Amino acid sequence: MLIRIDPGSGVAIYDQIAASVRADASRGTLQPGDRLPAARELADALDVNIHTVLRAYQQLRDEGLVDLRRGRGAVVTDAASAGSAIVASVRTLVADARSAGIPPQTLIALIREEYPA
Amino acid sequence: MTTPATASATRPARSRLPRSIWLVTVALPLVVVAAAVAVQLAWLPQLPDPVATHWGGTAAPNGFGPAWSVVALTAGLGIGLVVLFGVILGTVRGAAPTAMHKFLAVTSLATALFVAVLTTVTLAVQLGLDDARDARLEAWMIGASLGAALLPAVLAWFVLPRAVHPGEQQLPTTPLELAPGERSAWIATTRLRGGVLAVIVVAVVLVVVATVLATFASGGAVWPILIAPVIVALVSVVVGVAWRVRVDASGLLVRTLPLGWPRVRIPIAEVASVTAVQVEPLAEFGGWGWRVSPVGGFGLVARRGDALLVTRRDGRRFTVTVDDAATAASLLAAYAASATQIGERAP
Repeated sequence: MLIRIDPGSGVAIYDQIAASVRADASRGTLQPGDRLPAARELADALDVNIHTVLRAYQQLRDEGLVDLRRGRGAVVTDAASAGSAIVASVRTLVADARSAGIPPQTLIALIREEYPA
Repeated sequence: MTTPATASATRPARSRLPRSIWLVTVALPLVVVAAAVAVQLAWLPQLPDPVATHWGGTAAPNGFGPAWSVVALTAGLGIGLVVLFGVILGTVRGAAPTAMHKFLAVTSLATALFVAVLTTVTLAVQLGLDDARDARLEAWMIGASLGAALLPAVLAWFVLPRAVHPGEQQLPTTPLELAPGERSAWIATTRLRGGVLAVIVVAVVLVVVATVLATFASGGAVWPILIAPVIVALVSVVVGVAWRVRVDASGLLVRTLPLGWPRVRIPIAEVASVTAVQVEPLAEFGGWGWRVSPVGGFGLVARRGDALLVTRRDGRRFTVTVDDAATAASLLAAYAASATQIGERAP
């Protein structure tokens, strides 16, 4: 599992950690049932405070991407695999848009229309 | 934050071993055995009955039997050994010939030659004799048979294609693009799975049961001798079935689970090059677990497939099997490159 953080990016570190896990899950590198590294180990590897990692894990739990259980650590839930299907659809959609000559802004506008926030 | 652009580790199409390896392992030895059998059959009318079949410490024979038994021994032992080596070679998979493949091939040839030449020589010294007891097999004849077996095998080693090292045909990994000041880490766990794990568990259970039975049967007399293999078996299982691989700014850290020891640590300043490779456990490491082999170097091997290969500045290689090794390799390569630029980098 690859976790990338850039302290100079202005985004909170815990947000970056959570985003990395989300990206790994949607790419299929993380499968349902996989266990995330222990918070202490990840904090050590990234040279950040352990509470930063725990906060990221809690954020992922709130999104339903992982289960946090005492003694078992953070386990990826079935919700993670749903993401990979979307990634495949997005790739197809982008490829179609590109071949049809639709610029990115138009495509994003079309998606916003279908899926208002 | 950008999504890392990692090249997916595509498994190279597995081609077969070169025909020359199979030729030396199977075809040539069979020809040698067949030739020896043919010569021995042609000699049958000129041999005494019975012939000498066994020699003790002196040049004079001390065992006798019918002449056909020597021919049967040549054919049976010769063909049996060739089949055995052929089966082993078929098991040690791999596309390119490693030193392991070549060693099997020339050993098969040498063994077949030795069997064929030595049995033929034992008959040759009895040609034209009326009584096999007059036959003399001198020590130099055995030495000459050995030489006749080894010389072609050594020649075959040099004629066969050069042995390849795992990873040498791979392109160096493209380093991940790191933003200045970026701190990234890659962590994954490898576990022995399926068949290999089952074999280990069965082996350990057998060793333990056998030890317990032997201890009871001997009234407790032999346990000090038998306890050693049990300890070796248990320790090798505890330290060799799972490990966690971690790549971060400080380098590579591999810790066996669940104890976290033994471990392998390669500081980033010692990393000379990094590649993601496809490992063939038998052909490159001669097995699974903690391995040291002239072909693959030092390795921690769980299965065939994705592995991270790190070459240190002093030339030593370390291979560890782990899923998604391509991502690990690109991150480690990126940190190694930036460590080289900065020169002395504090961990």
